[in-house]
Amino acid sequence: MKLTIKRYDPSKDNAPYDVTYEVPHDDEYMTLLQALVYVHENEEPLAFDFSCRGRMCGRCAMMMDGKPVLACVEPIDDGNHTVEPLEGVPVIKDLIVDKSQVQARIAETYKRVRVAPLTEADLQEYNMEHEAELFGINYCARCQVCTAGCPARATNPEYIGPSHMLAVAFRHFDAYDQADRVVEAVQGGLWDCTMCGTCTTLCNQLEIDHLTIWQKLRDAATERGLIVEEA
Amino acid sequence: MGNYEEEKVSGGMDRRSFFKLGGLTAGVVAFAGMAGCAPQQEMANTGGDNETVAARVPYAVYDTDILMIGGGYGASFAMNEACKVGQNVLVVDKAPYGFGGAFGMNFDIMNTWVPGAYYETEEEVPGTKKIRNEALYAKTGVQNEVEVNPDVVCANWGEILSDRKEDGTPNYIYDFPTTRGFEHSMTRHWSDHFRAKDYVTVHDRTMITDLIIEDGRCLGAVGLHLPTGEYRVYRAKVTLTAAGGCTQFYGWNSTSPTTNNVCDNTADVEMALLRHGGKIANAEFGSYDMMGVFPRSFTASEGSMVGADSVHSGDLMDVDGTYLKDYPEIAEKELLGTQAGVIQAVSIVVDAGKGTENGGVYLDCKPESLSTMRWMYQRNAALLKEKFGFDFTEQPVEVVPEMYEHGGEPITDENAMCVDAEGLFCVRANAGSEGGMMNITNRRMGRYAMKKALEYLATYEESEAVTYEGVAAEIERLEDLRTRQIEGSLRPITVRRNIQHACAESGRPSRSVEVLETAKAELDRIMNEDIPKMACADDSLVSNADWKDAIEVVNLLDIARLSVEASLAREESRDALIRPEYPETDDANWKCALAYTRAEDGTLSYEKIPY
Repeated sequence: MKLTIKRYDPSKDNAPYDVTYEVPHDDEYMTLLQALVYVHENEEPLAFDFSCRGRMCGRCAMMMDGKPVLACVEPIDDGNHTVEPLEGVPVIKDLIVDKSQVQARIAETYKRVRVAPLTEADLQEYNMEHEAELFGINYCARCQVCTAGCPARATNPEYIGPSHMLAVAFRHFDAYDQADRVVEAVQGGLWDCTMCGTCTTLCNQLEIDHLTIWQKLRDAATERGLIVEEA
Repeated sequence: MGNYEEEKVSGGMDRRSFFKLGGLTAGVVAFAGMAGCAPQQEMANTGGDNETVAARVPYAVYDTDILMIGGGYGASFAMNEACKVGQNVLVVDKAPYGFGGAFGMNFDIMNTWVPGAYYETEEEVPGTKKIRNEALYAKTGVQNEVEVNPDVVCANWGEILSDRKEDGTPNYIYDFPTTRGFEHSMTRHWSDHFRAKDYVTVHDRTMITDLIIEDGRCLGAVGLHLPTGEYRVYRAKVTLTAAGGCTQFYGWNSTSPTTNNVCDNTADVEMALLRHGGKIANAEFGSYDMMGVFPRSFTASEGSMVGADSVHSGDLMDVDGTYLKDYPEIAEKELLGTQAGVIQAVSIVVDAGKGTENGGVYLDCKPESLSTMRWMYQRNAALLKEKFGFDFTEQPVEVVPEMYEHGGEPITDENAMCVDAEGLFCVRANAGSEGGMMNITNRRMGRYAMKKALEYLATYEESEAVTYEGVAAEIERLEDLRTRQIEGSLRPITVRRNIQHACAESGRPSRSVEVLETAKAELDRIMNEDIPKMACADDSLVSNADWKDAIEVVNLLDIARLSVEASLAREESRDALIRPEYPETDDANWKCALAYTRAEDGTLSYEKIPY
C-alpha cells in the first residue's frame, strides 16, 4: 500500500510537504500504527507519538484519509492513504502535535469542586442516576479525536468541543461535585452542538454514549431556563 | 556506555579537562541560554576558556528544593506529602503530563489494600515473603500507606469510584479480611488534582538523561525537552526517582515488546546511576500476566487485548484443551491464586510439552468465559469485533507471559535514600523479588520517600563547592549521539530491535542456561559492534525520534544486560524467575539482592546484599 505522510520539521523546513512511502500490507488486522512503525524502521526517521497501543493514552491521534483517528486501533486496508497531523492543534514535527494547552484547560474543568473533602462515610453513598454516563466518560482518553472532527466546532470555534464538554458533563453527573456545571456547559457552547453524532462515531471508547450525555445536559439547562433564544 | 565513550570528539585531549566547566557554584541560578525551536546556533560561551561543544550549546538551568523524576502513580503519593506541608516540587515527566506510563493509560487499575489496617508500630506490619529490605518495608507500612483507606484518597483526587452496587455502596472485587480490592481506578483524574496545586510545577515531555552526582552527592539531574531539544539542568537539594520499571527489552511484536508497559520507560534514571558507579539490583525479577498475542498489533496491550491475570486464571488451558486448574500438580500447590503462581503453572505446562511455540498456553475465550473477565478485557474484545471484525470468542486465544513490571532498582537505606548518592530518594525501590512496583508498595514508598526527603531538606547543608562538570560531559555525550557521523552506521532503531530480539526468550519467566547464554553473547556483540556504529539519520533538535532512540538504546542495553547476567548468576528459582536447571528456591545461598555495578568498559559485577 502507499502511505502519503505530511512531514514538517519547523527547524529545517519552510513548509510542510508530502512524502509517499510504499509499505507492505502484511497483516490481516493491520493498524495505521503498524504502518508508521514500518516507515520509521525501514525508510527514514518519522516523528509520531504513541504509548499504550490500546486507545487509552490518546497520544497517537492523527488524521488518516482526512478523518481523525487513533493510529493504534485504526484498521488500514491495502490501498492508498494519506496521513496528516491532528487538525486544530499546533504541529511540533511531522505527526506530533502540541495538545498541552487544550489538555490543561480540560484538566481544569475535571478538577472537582467541593466545600470539604470526601470522607469514608461519603464513599458509602452515591447517586446512581447517571451511573452509565459516568462509567463511560471515565474512559475518555482526552485524545481530541472527537473535537478535531466536530462539525459544530469547525463552524463555531467558540464551542469548546465534545472532548472538553465531556469533562463538564462528568462533573455535572458526579454527585460529589458541588459546582454549577450547567452554566459551565451552556457557557462552553452546549447549544452550539448540533447533536449530529460525529463525536460518537469517531470515538474509540464504546462505553461513551455522547448523544445521551448531551441530551441530559440540555435537559438540565432547559429546566434552568438556560436556553438560547432563536434569532 | 559501551565502547563509543572512549572515542574522542576531536583533538585527542584528555576527556576530563576537555569538558571542565568552571564558574557554577552553589546558590547561583544561571540561565545559560534558552534554546528555542530554531536550529542550533552559536551562543555565548558559558564555560570560561573551554572550546568544547558543550560550552557552546545553550541550556536552561532550573533551581528547586525538590526534583521529582516521574509524575505517575508512586509520584502522586509522594507529591501529596509535599503539598500537605506547602513544599514546592518540580516534577519532570517524560510524557505529556497525565498521559505517560501506566498512570497515563487511565485503564482501570485495581487498587488493593489491607482493610482496617492502621499499624502504629513496625512490628505490626505484616512481612511479604519476598526478598527485600523488610525493615524498610515495615517502616513504610506504619500508619498505613496513606493514613486512611486509599480509596478515600483517590476519591479526593477526583475519582468517582464507578464500581458500585445498586444501592450506591462500593463494590469490592476482593473483600477478604486481609485484602480488599477496588476496580476501575482511573488515575488520570489524579493528574487533574496535582496540576492544579500551587506547589507542583510540571515540566513534561522532558527526558532525564543523567543524574548530577559529585563526591557521592546527588545535586540534581540533566534533562532534554523533547519538543525543542533544549537541554535543561535541574539543580536540586533533593531528588526523588519515581519513573516506571523498564520492560522494553523483552522481544518485539510489530508495535511493542511483549509487555503492556510503555515505550517511554527505558530505565533512564537507574542506568544513569549505574554509569555513575551506583548499584542496581533485582533486574532478574519481573512481574507477568498472561496476555493475548494475536492480532499482532495488539500483542499484550492492556487497552486492546484480552488476557488472564490471577483473577481469571481458571480459563487457561493447554494445547489439548485441558484446563490448567485440572492439572493435579497445579491444583495441589494452589498456583492459580497468585500472579507468580500462574506463571509457575504455565511453566509446568510448557515444560510438559503442552504449551504453545511462543512459550504460552491458551485462554478459553468463549462467550461465557469472556463475560466473566474483567471489563478491561471485555471492552477490548468488543472493540476488535466492531472495528476489525476479529472475534475472540471464536477460538481459544494464545496467551504468553507479558512483563508488565520489572525490577532493576537502586539500593536504599532505611530512609529510602540511595546508598550510592546522598540526597537521592527512591520511590521505585525495595520491590525486591516482587519484580517491580505493585500498587501497595508504590503507595507506601511514594509517601515514605517524600516524608524522609522533607526531613533531609529541613537539615540540608549546601556543599562547599560544586563544579557541575558532569553537566558539560553529559551535554557533550548527547550532542555526540545526535550529530555523530559514522561510515556504515546503524540507526538507533535497528540497535533497539537487536536488543529486543536478543531478549525475546530470556525475558520470559522460564530462563534456561542456554537461553541466557545466547542472549548474553548477543548483547555483548551489540555492545561491542553495534553501539560504536550507532548514528542518527536526523540531527534535528525538534522531536528527533532517532536521537531519543539513541539515548534510550544506551540505557536499554544496560538494563537488558543486567537482566540476563543477574538471571544467570542467581542459581535458584524464586517467585516469577524460573530456572529449569535450578528449580528450587535456595534461601541459604540466594536470600539476597544481587547489586550490580558497571565498570567503564561495560563489565558488570555484583555483590550480594543479604536480607
